[in-house]
Amino acid sequence: MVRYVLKRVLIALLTVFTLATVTFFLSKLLPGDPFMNEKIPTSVQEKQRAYYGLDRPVTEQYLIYMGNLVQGDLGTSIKYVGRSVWDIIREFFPVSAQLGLIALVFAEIVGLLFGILCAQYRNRWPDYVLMVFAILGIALPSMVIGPLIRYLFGVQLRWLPVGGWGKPEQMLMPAFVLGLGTIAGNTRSMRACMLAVITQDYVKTARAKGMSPLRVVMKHELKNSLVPMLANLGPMIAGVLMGSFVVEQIFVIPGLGKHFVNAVSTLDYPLIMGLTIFYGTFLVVMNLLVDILYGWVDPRIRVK
Amino acid sequence: MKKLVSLILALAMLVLTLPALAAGTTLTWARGYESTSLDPAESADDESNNIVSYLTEGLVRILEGTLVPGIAESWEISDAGDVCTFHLRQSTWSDGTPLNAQDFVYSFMRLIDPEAGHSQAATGFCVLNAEAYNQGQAAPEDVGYRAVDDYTLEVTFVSSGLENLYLLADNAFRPVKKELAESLGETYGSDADKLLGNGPMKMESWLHESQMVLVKNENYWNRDAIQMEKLVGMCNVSGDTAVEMMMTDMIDLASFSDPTYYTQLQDLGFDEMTYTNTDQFIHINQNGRNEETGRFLSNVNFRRALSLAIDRTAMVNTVMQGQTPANRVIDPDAAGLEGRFVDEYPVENTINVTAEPEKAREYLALALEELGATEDQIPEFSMLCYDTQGNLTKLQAVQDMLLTVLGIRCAIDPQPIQQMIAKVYSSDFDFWTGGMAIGTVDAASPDGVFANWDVNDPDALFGYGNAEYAALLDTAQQASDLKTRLDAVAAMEKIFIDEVPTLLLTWQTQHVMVRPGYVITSVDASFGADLAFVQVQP
Repeated sequence: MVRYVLKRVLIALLTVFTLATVTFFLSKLLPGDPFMNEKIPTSVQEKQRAYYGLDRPVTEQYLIYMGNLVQGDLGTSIKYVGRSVWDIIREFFPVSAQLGLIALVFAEIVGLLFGILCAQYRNRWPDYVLMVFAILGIALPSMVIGPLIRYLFGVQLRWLPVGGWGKPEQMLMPAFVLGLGTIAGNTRSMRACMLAVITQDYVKTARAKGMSPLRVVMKHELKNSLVPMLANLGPMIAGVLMGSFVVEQIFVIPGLGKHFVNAVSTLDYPLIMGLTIFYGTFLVVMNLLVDILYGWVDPRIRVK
Repeated sequence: MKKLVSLILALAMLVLTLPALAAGTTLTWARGYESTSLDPAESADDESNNIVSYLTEGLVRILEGTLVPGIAESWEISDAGDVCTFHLRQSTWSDGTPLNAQDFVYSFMRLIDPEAGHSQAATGFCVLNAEAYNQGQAAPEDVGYRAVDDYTLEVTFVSSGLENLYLLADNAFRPVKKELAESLGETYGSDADKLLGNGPMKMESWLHESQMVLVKNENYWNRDAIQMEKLVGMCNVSGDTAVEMMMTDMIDLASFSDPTYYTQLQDLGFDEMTYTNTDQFIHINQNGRNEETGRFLSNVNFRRALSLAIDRTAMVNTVMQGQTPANRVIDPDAAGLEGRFVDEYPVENTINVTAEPEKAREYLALALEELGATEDQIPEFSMLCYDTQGNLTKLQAVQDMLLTVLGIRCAIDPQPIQQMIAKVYSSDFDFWTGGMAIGTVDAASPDGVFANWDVNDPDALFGYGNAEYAALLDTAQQASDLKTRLDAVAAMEKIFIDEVPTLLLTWQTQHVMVRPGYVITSVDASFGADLAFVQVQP
């Protein structure tokens, strides 16, 4: 088990290093310059470039950046003057993570429940209804469903605030919208996993022995169906916890999501690098944990 | 019974939709995006500039469109018009410590510090030797600032223009406290505890990308003029979200240019204040993105044909709603000598607000004759824009008009913002759409419309060369009396309309929607309503 974990950690480190290197050079390939601005004279723009070290050769910039990275320094944002990339991550990631966590717990519980129901009532009306819901959840983007429920519950019914962050009632609508796609995905995956397990001999045996349907589901079907579901958990957690540009925008949430988009459009190189490395590392760590968990749950994987 | 139910329902609707909260001394407003820096030397965007202007006070301030004393109680201008001596009032920073002339000299020199690379450094170049110092070609003592004593400051400008005092009202000329700025370095202005002001408000808290709370500065020299005890800025609130937050009493004030939004609030009884804030253009690169397109775009009759083919009224009715078709360069709100500029300086030939197809084709024929070209030799032109839905629909309309009226083909080239700017700098466009500020004083100001065609400016981008126009711009900027300046502006406008260096489409009007009871006393064409000076109706 220790060798397996060490191997996984080494692969994870190599992945992050490759990600940082590729992102650095790709971001430099983007046309444009963060300091180009028709309102600022070119002589002043040159001063700004020199201040941020962007007047040096790209390879030199890379070596300086990687040297700083090893020491944990992600640099200073170009757009948000005087704010370090770490400050930005430290301030906005907890908000996105909190929202994502609520959405994830909600989506996991509801998604698994719907998946189980669909499988148990396969090709009957509960299956059809829930699958329609699942398809709608995937098909309707948050940019459609978000403003709709905001208008309904925020403006018409006045049950919930239209936007903002901090109070429990401000979290309900965004968590629902963010979790909706995940509910739908989980419902479909859980249904497929359950259906694969239902036909197994040990399930038939349990039923033949007279075990109650609920016990069969809980003791045999659910436990074994969850193993393949684990594989999706790492990327899902990383994806949901890192924030959503659209949901944060609709509900005025100060999360990390918008920075992923804005950093690229404004060519804020340190922020592009910092966010990519942070997201990449988080994703790799989540996958690593899932891999280890998977190896623990199913020892055959470790041996392979 | 039915009538009673209808009445109750109608009353319920009314109660639900009318602005419910009364105006108080706290005002919550919608901020479109987060401020990037509150350091006066770095504050570049509108949402940063607004806040800097609430937190700080310069030597002078522009209120209700007029230059008024700030920390400078009075000033004298030398006979030559290039030296201004300011007499400062006894005032303090918001922490109660005294503010003097040396603080201003430090702040102004910090702005142009050659080592710091501050983005707003160029604003300081109106002062003698400031640019040379910034470029490492002059010593600090050569720069035109001198603290005569604690409360007297002498500023020597590069020129003697009327502009100078207005330029000093810019946020870049706001003071920063030396001890704090030096201890914080580049992080100055990045957080609530990393700045210190001397303006009408002071920062209480700043939750980035979320909420900013400003409270009245009891140490402000003019505190009696401030009625607002607290200003709360809700960040990233615009469009639909702002409308819904106004409807549900979460905010009191928001600005819009799109009628989709402000008309809803008009119907609900919110108060409204409007002002013209930008001119909307499709710029012409007269050098062209290549020799072939430049050959046509540098021909004045070809440009006249383009302008005449555009139906500005139709555009306002369809893709640019809420704006006003521009029939001349100077907007109707611009001030003249005593009244409105447009009344005092009428023009004979105005810009066409509807398409004039026959005249357009006549000019095209004339251009082709001058160029020795035929219609089928006209190349396809490239229309560059920042990739937004609004820009795309606007350009699609113009693209269609040019094709229908003149048979000229254009391809739209949407780009992300920095890539678009890179293309502009490398002259890789034929047409480029965008807005342009009205100008601090007027169109001849360094940040105004006309300055973009200054042939003496190495950063002018559009390849227009007209010696008479350049001389007029120089006259306007150097003039020490308003009439000389406005005469030059009027003459430039005539050349502008005649030679069509750019395709002016509309004047964009901004609508500030506010809960009844709050009275906006001052707006700035660039930054909108001055919230620090909002009054409450008795």
